Amino acid sequence: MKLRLSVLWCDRSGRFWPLKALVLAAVLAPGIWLAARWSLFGLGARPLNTAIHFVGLWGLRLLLISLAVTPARGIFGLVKLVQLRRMLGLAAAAYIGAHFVLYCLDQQFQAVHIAQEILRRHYLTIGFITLTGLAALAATSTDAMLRRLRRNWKRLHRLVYPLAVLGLVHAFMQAKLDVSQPAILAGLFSWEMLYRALPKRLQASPWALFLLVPLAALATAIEEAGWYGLAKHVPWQRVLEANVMVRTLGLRPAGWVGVATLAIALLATLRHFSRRFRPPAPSASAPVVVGG
Amino acid sequence: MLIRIARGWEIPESKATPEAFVLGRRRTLGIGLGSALATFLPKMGHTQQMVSRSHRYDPGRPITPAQIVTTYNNFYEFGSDKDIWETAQGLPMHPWVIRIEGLVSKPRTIAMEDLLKQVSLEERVYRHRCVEAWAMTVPWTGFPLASLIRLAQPLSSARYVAFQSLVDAKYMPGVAEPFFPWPYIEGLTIEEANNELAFIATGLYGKPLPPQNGGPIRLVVPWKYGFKSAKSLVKITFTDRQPHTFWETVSPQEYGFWANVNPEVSHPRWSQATERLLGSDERVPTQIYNGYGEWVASLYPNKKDKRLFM
Ligand code: HEM
Repeated sequence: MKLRLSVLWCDRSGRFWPLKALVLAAVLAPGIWLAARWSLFGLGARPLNTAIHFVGLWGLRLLLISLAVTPARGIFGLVKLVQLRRMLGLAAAAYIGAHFVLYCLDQQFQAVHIAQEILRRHYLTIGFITLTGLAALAATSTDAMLRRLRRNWKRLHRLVYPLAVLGLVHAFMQAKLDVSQPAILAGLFSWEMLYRALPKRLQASPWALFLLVPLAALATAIEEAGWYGLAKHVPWQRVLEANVMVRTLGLRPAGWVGVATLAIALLATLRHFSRRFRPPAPSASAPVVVGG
Repeated sequence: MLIRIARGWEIPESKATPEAFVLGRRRTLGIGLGSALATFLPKMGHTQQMVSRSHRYDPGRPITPAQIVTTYNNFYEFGSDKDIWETAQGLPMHPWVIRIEGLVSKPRTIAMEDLLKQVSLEERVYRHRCVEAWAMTVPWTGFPLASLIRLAQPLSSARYVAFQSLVDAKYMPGVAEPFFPWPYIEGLTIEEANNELAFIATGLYGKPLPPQNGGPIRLVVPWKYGFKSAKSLVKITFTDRQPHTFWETVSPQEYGFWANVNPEVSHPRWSQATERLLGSDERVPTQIYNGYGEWVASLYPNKKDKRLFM
C-alpha cells in the first residue's frame, strides 16, 4: 500500500479539492495555535492542565463536527461532503490521543499511578473507554479495513454515537462547577440526534429544521439544568429560569444552541428558495458521483 | 497635615527592589534577605513604615513569581475561568468597610483604614495549596486573625466564625448567575480562627492586595485547601452554628467544611498525593496540613475522621 500525502487535499478522483484543503487547515489550526502559543509565550501557571483542557475540548468538538457531516450532506445536498468525514474523525482521535498523552505527561508517565487513577476516578474510566473505542475506529478507518469488514464496518462505526455520549459525560464530570461548554456541545449533539430521527423526506426541509431549533434548545436547557440538579446541589429550577434572563446574563448554553441551529435552518431556507427561483441549470441535476 | 498611616501592604522588599531582582533571586530568598534588602530602602526617597517578614514560617520553597500569582485565580464571583484578573480590576477597593456581627459584645462596622490602625502588620510567606492539586508560595502582608477576633470581642457562646465575601453584580459578572448560593461564605471554628497561623491579608508582594487575589482584605488559612481562604471580605459573623459554606452547599460530596490538606485523602476526582508548583515543572509530594502540622495538628485529635480532610 502506497501512502500518498495528496489524499489530504484531493478528492476520490485525485483532483485538488479546495474545500478539503480548507478543512485540513482548519483541523490543524487549533493544534498549531496551541503549539505556537506554548512555545512563544508559554501557557501560564499550569501549562499542562491548560493544554489538556484545550485539546480535550477540540477533540470533542471535532468528533461532533464529524457527526454533522451526514446532516450537512442532507441539508445542503452535497453528497461529496461525506469524503470529509474520515479526516474529521481522525483529527478528533488525534486530538484526544494527544489529550491522553498530555495527561500522562502531567502525571509524569507513572504507569501504575495512571492506571490506578483511571480505575478509581469514574470520569477517567469513562474517558479511557471512550479513548479505546475511538482508537479502534481510527484503526479501522482505512479503505482496506472498510473492504475487509464489509457490512460489519458500518455496524462497528456506528459506535461513534455512544462514544460521543461518553465523551460528553466525561466533559460534564470533569467540570468543577460550570458546565457551559459541555452543555453547548451536548446541545449540538442533541440536535444531530434529533435530525437523525426526522423522517428521511423531511431531512432537507427547512420547516423541519426550524422545528428542531426550539427542540434542540430545550434539550440543552434540560441537560444543563439536569446536571446541576442531579450531580450538584444547585437548584435546577433556577438554572432553567436563567435561560430567559438574557438581558442580565446574556446567552446561556440553550441560547447558543438555539442561535447555531437557527443559523442552520436559515441557511437551508436560503438554499431552498434560491434553488426554487432560479431556472434549473442543465448541470444542476447531473448525477453526482458518490465517494467515501 | 496629612497623617501617613501604614497601609496594609507596606513591606520593605519589593518596594525597595525591582521585582525582577526579587524574583531572579527568589531561590536564595531566605533568612536575612529582608534585612539585606532593607538597606536599599533609603534610596526610595519616601518614608514608609517598615513591615518585617516573619521567619517563623519559612516555606522551604522558592516564592512563586508575582506575575503568576496575580493572573491565575479562582474567584467565581468574577467568572469560572482562571483568567479573571482583568475583569477583577474594575472592582473599587476604596472605601471598604467590614461588618462584624453575631455573637459579639457590640456589632459594628469598621472601615479598612480604622482597622489597620489597630493591628500591627507583618509579612508572612506561606505555602498555598489549592484543592485542585496545585500550589504556590506567596508573601502576604497582614495581621493575625486572632488580633481581629480580639477587637471583635466575641461572646463566650461563639463557636464558629463565618467569613462573607463581597457580592456586587455591577463589578462581578459571576454573581449574576442566580443559581449559585451567593454570597460566598466560609467558616472556621473559634479554635482554628485563633490559631497563630490564621491570617488576614491586606497585601501581596509588598503591594496592596489586588482584587483578583481577594483585595483589599482576605482570609489566609494555609493548612487548609485554598477555597477556605475567603476573599474580599465584607462581613465576619460569630455564631454558635457551623456555617453553610459555598462549596459545601453546591457539592457536598466533594468539598467539606473542614478541608484540611491531606495527601492520603483523595478528592473524588483526583489524588491529593502530589501538587504541581505553579510556574515550574515541579510536582512535589503534598504534606499533611500542608506542612503546618506543627502548629495545627493538635486542633484535630481524631485524625482518623476522613471528613476533616475533604
Ligand atoms: C484515558 C483517557 C482520558 C483521560 C486520562 C482524560 C483526562 C482529562 C483530564 C485530566 C481533564 C481535565 C480535568 C481537570 O482539569 O480537572 C479532562 C478534560 C476533558 N476531557 Fe478528557 N480524558 C480522557 C479522555 C477523553 C476523551 C475520550 C474525550 C473526548 C471524547 C475527552 C474530552 C475532554 C474534554 C472535552 C474535557 C474538558 C475540557 C474543558 O471543558 O475545558 N477526554 N480530561
